[in-house]
Amino acid sequence: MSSHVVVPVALAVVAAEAGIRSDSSMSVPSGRMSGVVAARRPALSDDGTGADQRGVYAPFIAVIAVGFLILGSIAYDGPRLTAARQDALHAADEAARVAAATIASGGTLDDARTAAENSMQQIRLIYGQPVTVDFLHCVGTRVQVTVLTGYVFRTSLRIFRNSQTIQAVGAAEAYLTLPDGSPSDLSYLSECPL
Amino acid sequence: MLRHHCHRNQAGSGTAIGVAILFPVLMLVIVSLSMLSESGRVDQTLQNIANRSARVASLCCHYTGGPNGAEEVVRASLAAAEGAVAVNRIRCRNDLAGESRIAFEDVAGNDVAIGYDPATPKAFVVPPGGKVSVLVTCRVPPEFLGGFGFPGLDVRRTVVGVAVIDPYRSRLGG
Repeated sequence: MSSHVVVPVALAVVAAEAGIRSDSSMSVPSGRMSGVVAARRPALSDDGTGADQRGVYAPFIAVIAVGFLILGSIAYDGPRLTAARQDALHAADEAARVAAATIASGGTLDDARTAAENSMQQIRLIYGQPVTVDFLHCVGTRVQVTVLTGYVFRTSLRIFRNSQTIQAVGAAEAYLTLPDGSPSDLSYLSECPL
Repeated sequence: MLRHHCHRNQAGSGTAIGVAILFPVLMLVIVSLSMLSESGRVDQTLQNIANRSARVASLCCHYTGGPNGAEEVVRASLAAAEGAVAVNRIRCRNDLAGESRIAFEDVAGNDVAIGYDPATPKAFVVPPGGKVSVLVTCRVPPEFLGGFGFPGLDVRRTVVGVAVIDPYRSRLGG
């Protein structure tokens, strides 16, 4: 029985400190008062000022979540973009090698470009993007090919840009040999004057 | 007064609870970020290995198989990629060289058998103008994924490296 007397008094003190008006609607029998007061009492701050601090973390969480979303996107797409660039470099080297071989065997620059484009049709890049020959250039025995491909972003970075163009330059050098295996005296390919 | 006393003792508890909740989440996010980027690095490394092996196969040999034909050379290249001195290496949990496959296609797109038979010189010859594909399969060790061990995490990656076979290159011997 003693608890029925003590609890309402203590809650009444708290209610008074919190500034809750003790009107007639709250004049309930002592045994039921605790439920009414608890329901209408505002959340108290740690310092007891009465300011409602519920939800103060919400903006913090929102900012952090956006930050992590962007970080996660960079962490995912960044290495993939690097891998795509690396693979484009491999494709450019392949194109240059084929072009150099074509010119070295007596083909023209157009033949070399066609051969390089054909080789790009056969190459499968790491993320399945198409690759095309953009530019072919040769000097002496060195053939240089520029290829174009792209990387499509798969994360929230698409907000900023959907894809990134990748340009890679590959080079190959042809060493001419005679049928007996000895090196040729020619210091440049027929289509590639110095 | 009793309530007042209690509030004074709870000062800062909200922050503590917030930190206690956020800390594991932050750790999880950091590990996840690390795993994501590491996954990209693994992709890149494997693709490089496959590309390099395909290029070697397209340049090296007269025969597709052994002895010392393209297949053998590719396996040697894959074994070297796992070597201690290899840059940006990856130690797979499987036999990288043994479980990887090599395939040749001629210009018309027909498969070329892998083998070696000196009795029939025109058989098993690397097809000039065709292409060679090297399929590299790697069971990625979980330690690579974020630097943490995730027991039960069994990631298997297969990448394909393709190289065009130079039709004009002179190939002697194996």
